[in-house]
Amino acid sequence: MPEQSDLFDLTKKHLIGRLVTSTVSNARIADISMPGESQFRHMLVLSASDFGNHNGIRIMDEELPFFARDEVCYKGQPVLAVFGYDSEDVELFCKQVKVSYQIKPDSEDPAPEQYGSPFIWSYGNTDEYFTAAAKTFRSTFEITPFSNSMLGDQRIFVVQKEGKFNIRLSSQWPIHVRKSVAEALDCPIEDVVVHNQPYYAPYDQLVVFPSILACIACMASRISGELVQLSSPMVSWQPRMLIEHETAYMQDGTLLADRANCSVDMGAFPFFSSEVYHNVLAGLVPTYPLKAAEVCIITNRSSAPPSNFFGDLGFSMAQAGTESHFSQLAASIGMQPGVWKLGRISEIGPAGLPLCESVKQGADYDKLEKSAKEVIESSWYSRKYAANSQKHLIPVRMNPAINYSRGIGFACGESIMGFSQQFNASANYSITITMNENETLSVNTGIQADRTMTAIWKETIRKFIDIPDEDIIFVDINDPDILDLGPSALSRKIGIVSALLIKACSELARKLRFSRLPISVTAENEAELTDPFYYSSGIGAVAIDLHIDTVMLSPIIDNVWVNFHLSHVFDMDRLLNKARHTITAVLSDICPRSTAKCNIDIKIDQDGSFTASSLTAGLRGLTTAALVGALSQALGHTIHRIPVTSDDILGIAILQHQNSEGGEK
Amino acid sequence: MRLTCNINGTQYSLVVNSDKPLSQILRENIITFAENSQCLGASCGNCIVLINGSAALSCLVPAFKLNGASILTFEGFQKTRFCHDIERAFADVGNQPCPQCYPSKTVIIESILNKLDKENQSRLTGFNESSASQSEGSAANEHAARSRSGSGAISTEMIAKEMAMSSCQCMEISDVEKIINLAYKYRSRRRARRS
Repeated sequence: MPEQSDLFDLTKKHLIGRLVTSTVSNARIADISMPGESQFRHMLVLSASDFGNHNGIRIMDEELPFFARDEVCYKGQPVLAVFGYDSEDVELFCKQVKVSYQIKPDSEDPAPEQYGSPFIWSYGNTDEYFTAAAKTFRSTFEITPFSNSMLGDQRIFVVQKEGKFNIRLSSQWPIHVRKSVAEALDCPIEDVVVHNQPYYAPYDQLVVFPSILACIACMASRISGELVQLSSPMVSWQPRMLIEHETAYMQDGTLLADRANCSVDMGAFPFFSSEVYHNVLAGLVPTYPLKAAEVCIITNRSSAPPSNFFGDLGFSMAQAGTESHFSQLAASIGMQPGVWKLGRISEIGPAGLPLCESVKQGADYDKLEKSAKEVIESSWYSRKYAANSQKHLIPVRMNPAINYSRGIGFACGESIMGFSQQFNASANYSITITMNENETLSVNTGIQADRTMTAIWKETIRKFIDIPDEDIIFVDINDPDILDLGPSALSRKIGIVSALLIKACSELARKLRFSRLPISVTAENEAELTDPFYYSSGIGAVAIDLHIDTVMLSPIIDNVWVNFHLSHVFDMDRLLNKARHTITAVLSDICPRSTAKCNIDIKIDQDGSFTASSLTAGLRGLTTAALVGALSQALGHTIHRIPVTSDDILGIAILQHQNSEGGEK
Repeated sequence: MRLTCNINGTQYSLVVNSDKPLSQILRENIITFAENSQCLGASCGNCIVLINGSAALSCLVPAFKLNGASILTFEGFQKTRFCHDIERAFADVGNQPCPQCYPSKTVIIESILNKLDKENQSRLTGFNESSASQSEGSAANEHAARSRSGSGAISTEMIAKEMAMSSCQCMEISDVEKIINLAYKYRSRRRARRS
């Protein structure tokens, strides 16, 4: 493969591209007027018509268009792509393109419509328990759409060399880029070479978007025959979710059954919808001893931008909603949520509950109890919760806006990783390692690993086979043998690669003693479709202590305590940094004006086994739930909707003031 | 307009529009694959560079303000030995910025270290001048001793103000403070060895 600096020679004159996007949602394109040719020279404009019938990328069974053809479906949808030799000319051209819209008579922002049929899952007979129950508790939790504004731009370079498209980009799913370009430009997949760059994508913003940009840039490169540079701001939207829980319990607090309904707004072009069902289900099934549960999930289509899921496909927000519901339930029966949750967890044996195990398997519930206990003790949860609650009851107001503004929240539960077992491409999976005649080791995991992951896998291999690092070669992303296992961020496979590598390496080490080179060994993992949806041994608890700045009305996080149990940690320092970044990202997403001048105390322990385990999705969900719990206590008002802004806090303060005045009268 | 400036140690003479932001100049007129955003000061803070040693949002600095300036991007800064001091301090404190804001936060820390350096240098000069005229000066002595040992005075507010240029809140200010003090110590030690 030629050097990238030779291939993408930016010193030569090359085309620079920008996207023209829609300014309205849900409208018909009436007319597009371009600036005159006398004003701008050598401009290349691409639209839907340039792609014929291939105006879109396919994601599993769903499709996402490159450009709006006759109608725009959401605000920010690409309408045109403009390429020119001077970037300022291109920008000026884009500004002078006038797209006139015909707003549809119904409305510009229509109500979401249901997409596909609802997903229903049940365990046991909930009706029976709801009829027999002495009490029921119902709550709602809403996640309103929010995005991250500091993701920066995505830059893609495409150049044609010897009939092949060379694409330089950062993508979480490079195989999808190759497939999409091959399909859109109707060329063989071997003619599409991806030079994937290191990336950081906490919001999964690089799963689908790079494929779209790559297709547009490749088309421009095909037409012009020149090096093309296309850049566009990255977008990432957390979808709107509405979660409703209803729990039946006995007078003494014994839990009986839970019913959960969830609707997820997937935006204008839903994708990964079947996986969303499984992910949200895993978040809605509680980790508390219930005898029956029923879950109904609906996905909707609307005029919002296509959604991203911030590191998972809805699990963490569903988990936050569930944990928040049980915190409210505990408070409603006069218990401290943390203490109540610890009590319920201790009722579960180490093997877990059959109800939970049918959805997510692998966690040791004794470890959950241990983690929860440790977090409760180290955060002085009980004492702080009691003190905060009592201070709220003091009749003399300590502050004109909010009477007492301290709160502590607690959440505990499991974490899952990636796609479910039921994901099409994951039924059978194998890795192959080959010791070549020149004593190099070729490894085909089917996954394009980043530098850290490669280092971890190399370390694993070297425990069994005495071979220098540089002689271990991982199969390239452009190799025809590479498997498509879905986006790396969501791939369940990453967790089991280490276990399969150990299996293959020990077999190869044995064969090396008596066989001649080359030797090839394949280790297989066969998942049954009857298995639970997820397998992960990540389990833990989070507590957050905060106070409200009574002048700025913004939450100030004082302390965060995290205790997690995982199967095996390869690089503890890196994991601790990752956990810290996940926590701070959640805090700033959920409370945009909160300050992270806090102490974050993270403890992670491991049992040393090479089973799949992940921290991120669970940590996101539990941090959100703990934050909501702490805010609810600090404000003396249950939070039903996230993100929580200063306006929301002001609204609550005004409401409380009016209530207290009403009481005094 | 013709713009003459030094970018990452190379002297450039460019013909650009006078209001073209530095971020765009770096992106299009200077050959680099480096990612930087075009939010035009909206909030991201991913485009921070060092202009004459001070951190600045490159998307807000127009070309006409750059004549004769010395500009150092993160890519250029990474090649200097000063970057190693900061990286070493990250490792020693056990906390580093997330990969998204790593370049911008590192550059801001360098800017704070430069300010601290200037402050201490001026204090030291002041001390030398005053000690020539006065035989005794216990307070100044103490200051100078602190400056020499590398633990310069730096307020948390000043750090918070500088760090606010990057909107990513992945690091606690207390940790940033520790990192700055450590990096400054390493730098001072190296200087002492060299002199």
